[in-house]
Amino acid sequence: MDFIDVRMWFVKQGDLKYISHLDLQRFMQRALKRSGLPLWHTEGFNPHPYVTFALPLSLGQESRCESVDFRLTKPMSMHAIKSAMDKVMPQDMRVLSVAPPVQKAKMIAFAEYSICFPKWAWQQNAVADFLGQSEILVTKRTKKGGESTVDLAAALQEVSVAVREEDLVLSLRLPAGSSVNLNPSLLVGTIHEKVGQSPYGAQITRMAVFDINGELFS
Amino acid sequence: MDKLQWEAILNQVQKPGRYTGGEMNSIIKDKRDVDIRFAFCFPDVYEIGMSHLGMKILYSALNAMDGVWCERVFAPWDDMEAKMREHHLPLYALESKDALHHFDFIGFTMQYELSYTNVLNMLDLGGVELLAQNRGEDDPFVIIGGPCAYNSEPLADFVDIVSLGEGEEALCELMVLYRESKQQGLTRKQFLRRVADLDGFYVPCFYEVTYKADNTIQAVTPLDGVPATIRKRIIDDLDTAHYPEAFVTPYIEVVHDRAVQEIFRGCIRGCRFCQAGYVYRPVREKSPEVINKQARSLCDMGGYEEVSLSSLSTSDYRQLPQLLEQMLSWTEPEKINISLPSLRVDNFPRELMERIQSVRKSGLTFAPEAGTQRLRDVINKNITEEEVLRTAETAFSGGNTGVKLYFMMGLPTETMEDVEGIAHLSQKVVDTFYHMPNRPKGKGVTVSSSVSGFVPKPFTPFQWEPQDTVEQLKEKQKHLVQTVTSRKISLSWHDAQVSNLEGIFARGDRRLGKVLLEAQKRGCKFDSWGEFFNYEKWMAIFSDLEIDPAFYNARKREFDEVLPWSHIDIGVTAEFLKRENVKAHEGKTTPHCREQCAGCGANRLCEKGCE
Repeated sequence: MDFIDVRMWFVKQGDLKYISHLDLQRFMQRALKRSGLPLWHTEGFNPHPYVTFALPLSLGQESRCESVDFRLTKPMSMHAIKSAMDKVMPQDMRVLSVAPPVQKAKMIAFAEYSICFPKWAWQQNAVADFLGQSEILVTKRTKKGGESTVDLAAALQEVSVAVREEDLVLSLRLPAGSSVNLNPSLLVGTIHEKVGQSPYGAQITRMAVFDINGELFS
Repeated sequence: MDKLQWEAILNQVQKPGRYTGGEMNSIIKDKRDVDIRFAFCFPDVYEIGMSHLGMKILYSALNAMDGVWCERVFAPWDDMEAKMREHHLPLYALESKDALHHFDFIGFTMQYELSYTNVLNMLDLGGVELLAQNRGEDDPFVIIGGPCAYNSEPLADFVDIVSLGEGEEALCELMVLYRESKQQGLTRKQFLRRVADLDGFYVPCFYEVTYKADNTIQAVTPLDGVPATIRKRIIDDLDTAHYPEAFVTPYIEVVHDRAVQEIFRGCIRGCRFCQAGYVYRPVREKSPEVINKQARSLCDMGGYEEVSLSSLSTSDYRQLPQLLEQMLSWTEPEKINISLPSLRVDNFPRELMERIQSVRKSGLTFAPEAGTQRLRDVINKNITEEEVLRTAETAFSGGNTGVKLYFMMGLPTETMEDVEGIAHLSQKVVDTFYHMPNRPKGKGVTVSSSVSGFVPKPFTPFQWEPQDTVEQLKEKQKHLVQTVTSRKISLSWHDAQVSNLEGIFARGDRRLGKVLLEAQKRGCKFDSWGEFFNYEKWMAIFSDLEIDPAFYNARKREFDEVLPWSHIDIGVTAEFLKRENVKAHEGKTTPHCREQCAGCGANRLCEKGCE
């Protein structure tokens, strides 16, 4: 059956950061159903609207650059699709834009994160020194249940350590995508272990997603 | 609430989505426009509470009122509770995040006796004084409703108001009365006295209970001129009654995550063990047109992929084929499943059935409840063995190979022969499969027989009967296991100790209040969850307080005994229940309501009588 691919960009923030990836999938299918758009359904015994997400976001993290792909059975203007979705998406998951997908999700190679440690500005130098080391070894659980050691120092790019009022704010890029993916919570865990425990943990926000050439994923 | 601290807590608990609110169709009001705040509490976790239809209806009905804001509260799981207590974060409502003690009303829906400790624990976590008599002028009113409210006596020390029967009109009247009373500057006590005169509301503090030397009740005496009996409320016309246009749609997965459309209330069947079959009488149906319109709205507003038609016995809805025709006209193109729980498949048009996906998909369940015809007659479960086997055969020929059978153990007059009957009936279903020449090839059959312990409930013909002890039930379970010889039959049962505790509170009186208070102090909560239920702890409490639990559930009561719920009128009369009890012991059945009226008395509640 013919269908038209659509990629929708949206934010995920506020209390909605506590919605897991699996729950987000179900929510998105329902939001699409409620939108009244002519959805393409999967075939088979239990048909449901087709949705696929480019890069799953961990529970508890916010994002300004989430994307989901879905399919329509007939062509519509991107503007009309966006207005239909605007009506059904909550404020903390508002739609940024709707466009035909250009790249495949497997082209994603990096993601940029902002990590805020509330009321921890006084640790700016300690954290900067820690991140400036030539090697930061951490153990990472693998999908198969084992453990592997990665060097975060080699993976980190474009690091900045800034202070915003009382808060300490890191900005950095990490490998992301289906082949190599480093969760920023690994870095946060290491900082808490090696530098000290921040009073209110850390708020992680995914700011942008890039391809292997450092261009924005589109 | 300190947002930073709250987020730090949420990052450390399982399923934080239980505690955040903000779901689609949840209702946020401007506090400046609100003069009555109602916290609707479900004494179990979010996933269970969010599956409950009654809460959705009342949430919507209260919020439809100007100036009233109803919010939702669920019991936090113990990881969250520990963090809340550690950081002195009081239990809050999901919409405003305001602590429970800030509300005007705190309402609990009581579905199950084993959630009583959660009520106390939630009040405690919300900073609310547990004992009603200690609450002051500025404290919230605690109100309960739901099936357990029909005998609310074990909770009488903790609640200010009990709502009896269907709440969608009654609660709104209560809100109006409260607003008037506040404007007139009435005291807490004066307001409660007025509530006691409002139809369908029981205010326990105005009823004094005295006891005889043998511990049975001497009398329930109304004080200050309140009515001597309190009659439950019902909705006369379900077609015009409030029904939500949209459900709050959870982000996280809940137990029943679908649109639920009520089709009728009450039940014509009169199974003698079933409290729901009596307390929800009389039968009132919604018209197919109204059902169709309401179901469509729920699906449109929620984006659901499934709509379930809800009632106590779906097959007894008289216009089911017409209703399904109407609904299929939009559910089919929109790829929405219709699910029909508790449907008897034997007399259902095959063509329609094939169009209803979920019936095809889900396995077949059947509730014979008892293993022999004799005992099924005693409990008035009018299903014959032939019907069970014929239905099983229909299901097998349709490609099903799994059948679930539900039974009860410990029913009045039960003998070991009846217990063996559970095994024999299960075996006959297995044999039916292998005797079919056209059975599904290459597959074995599985008969899953689930056996629960019978708990006598108030307002049933068995309200006077003794409950089997834990030892008796265990003995019967052992005997049943020995009788089952086929590996095609898988047996499962409910914990006999859980049934025992349920039975104690189901027919308990006010003296059990101090047991609940002590249980909360000793950390009892989530008693319906295996990982929390601690029978030894409960028995130690009874023993320390010198209260004999067997008095409440293991004793045969005489017809002339004053029962703790004697002053509550559910429409069905005590005389009718006595007649049914006598017939049960004679093994005589009572035809269902549409065959012949048995004169239960519930028709008095409804202007137009029964349907």
